Amino acid sequence: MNKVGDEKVLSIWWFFVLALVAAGVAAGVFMFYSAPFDVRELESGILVDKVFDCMNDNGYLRSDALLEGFDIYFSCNIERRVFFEDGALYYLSIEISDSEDLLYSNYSRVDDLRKNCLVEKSIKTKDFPKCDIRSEDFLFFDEGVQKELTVSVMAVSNQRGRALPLL
Amino acid sequence: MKMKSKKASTNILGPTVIFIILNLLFFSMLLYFVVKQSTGAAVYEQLYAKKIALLIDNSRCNTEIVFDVSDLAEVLEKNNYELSGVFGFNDRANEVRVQVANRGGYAYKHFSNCELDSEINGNNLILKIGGAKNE
Repeated sequence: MNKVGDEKVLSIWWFFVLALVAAGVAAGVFMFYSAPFDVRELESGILVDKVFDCMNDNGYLRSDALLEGFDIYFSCNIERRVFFEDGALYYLSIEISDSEDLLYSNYSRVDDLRKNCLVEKSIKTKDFPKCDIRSEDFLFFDEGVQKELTVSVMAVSNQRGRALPLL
Repeated sequence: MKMKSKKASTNILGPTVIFIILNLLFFSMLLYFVVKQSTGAAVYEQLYAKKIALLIDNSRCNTEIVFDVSDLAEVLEKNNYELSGVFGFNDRANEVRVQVANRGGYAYKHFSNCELDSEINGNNLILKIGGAKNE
């Protein structure tokens, strides 16, 4: 029996196994830590909360909400540009209605985000944008008459963040 | 005779000891790599950029937030960096930028329309969310 030869073959095999283990661990670690923390759903929720918080005036709808020229972005301190720029990653829609009519509506630019998010609601996939859709009832005084209005808000985020270039 | 058997046992022990040392070296390097990756700059940059962006989104204008960043300060100390200059805001892009090393970094957008500024106090980041830009 050639014992020295056997040991050499075993050590070559062993180092091959070690290299394989190292490659596996490195690949696993890279995959795990390079995966982005997905906060898109949280972000959409925060945006909806922000809109409701801004529209609410002690349980009543803010008095200027149905005035002509009411700007949801200006009034709620939301940066309009990030919703209307090319390749926008956010979408926001707001509708105020009574039992019959739509009294106010505002939709941001990228309608694809809304459509894709509605698809994501029925087909679970990590690549589609995440959204939050909620409705709340508010009281509102219109010419001395108290009405109940429904405010529906849809917020979508498809932001994943970006690594800055190594320059 | 006695001398010969001693030499034979050294011959057997030598390669085994080297083999064990090499294996230990390999696995400690692997462990070091995993630990280094898990506490690496890239992970902290992404984590803090997102945390700060969400904090800003969730805050009203004219708010001051004291944010404990001692775990990041610890990592920076090991790499001889300082907390000052790590956090930044890009008003044009509405982004929070976190740059732990000299190069690169991570950026995350926020949708707040408030003026932003920050200050470092010890191991705390003081986030100053000012008045609305359009006022």
